[in-house]
Amino acid sequence: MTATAPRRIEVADAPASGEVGLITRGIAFAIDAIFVDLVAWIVGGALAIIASVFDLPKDVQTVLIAVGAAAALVWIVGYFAVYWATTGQTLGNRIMQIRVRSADADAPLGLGRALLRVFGAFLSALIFFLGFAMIVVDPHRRGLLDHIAGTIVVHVPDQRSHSI
Amino acid sequence: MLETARSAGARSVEIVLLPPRIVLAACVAVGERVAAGAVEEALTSRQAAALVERIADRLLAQGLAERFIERLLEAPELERLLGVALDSPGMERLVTRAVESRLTEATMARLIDDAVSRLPQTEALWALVDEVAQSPAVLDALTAQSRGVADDVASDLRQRSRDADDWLERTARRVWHRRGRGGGAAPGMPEPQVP
Repeated sequence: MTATAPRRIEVADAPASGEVGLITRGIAFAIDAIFVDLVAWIVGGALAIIASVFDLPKDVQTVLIAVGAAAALVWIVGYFAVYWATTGQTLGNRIMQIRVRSADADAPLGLGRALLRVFGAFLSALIFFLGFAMIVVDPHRRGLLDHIAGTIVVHVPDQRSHSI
Repeated sequence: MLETARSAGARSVEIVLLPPRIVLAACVAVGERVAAGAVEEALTSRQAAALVERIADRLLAQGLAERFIERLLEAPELERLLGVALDSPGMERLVTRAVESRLTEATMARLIDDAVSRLPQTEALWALVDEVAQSPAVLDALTAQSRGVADDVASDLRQRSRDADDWLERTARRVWHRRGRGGGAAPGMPEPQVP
């Protein structure tokens, strides 16, 4: 038997400074989650109060709850998908000055790829968040959702400091 | 001879006139006292007071006081006198002493305390505060200040998160590199350095 040499793992080079790491993206996502949840809770609470005024049958209540849950899902998916598809910047991204764009070109994603990225985000969370952990070790700081949708997240230079 | 006779005559006239002179002086003295007492009595009496009051009223009605004050103020002498008085070192010393006196200090403190305690009760002050607070310049300054603080906080957050990203990835690469080499360094051996 020959002694096997330890498997050499290529350590990625330090990523370019324009690509955004996990913690910054996590903070931006947390800001988005707070905003999305806040709006959902306010709207949902207001609708629940209005519905409580009427004496609705139990079946209707069940249907309304299902509709509300579907609306919440549409709201969450739509929030991220629309912003990623158009400007590439959600509210959290704006605060953290980062932007989602195509990996191959500096262009908007389009709705299809944005929805694909949302699906990739769900999938990344589903497999014990390993899809997000990839960002730490990927040479271009891309997670599973970025690989699925062909996207990359980059820093946006401060426009005001450039305009001075 | 003639001189002697003349002086003797004069002396004799003086001697003759001495008693009437004494009587006259006594009468004048008594008269003066009586007159002074009468005037004093007249002045302190109600009629005299009323008379003086009428005289004063008439003088005031004729505008005498106004004319007097106008003339006094228009006179160049008053201005000159005031200038001299103001330029004099004595006036400076006087003002300095007055300013540094305890009375002035106590008066100022009392005035300020009084003003501070009364100011919140005045409606004009709050109207002024409202006016100032709603002025576009103040609102713009407050907005700019708030925006500046928010920008500073966000900028600091961004910088810290970028540093944290770099730190996390350095740590991850170090751990990955160590495991790739066979589970890390042997006990007692130095840790591998990753640039």
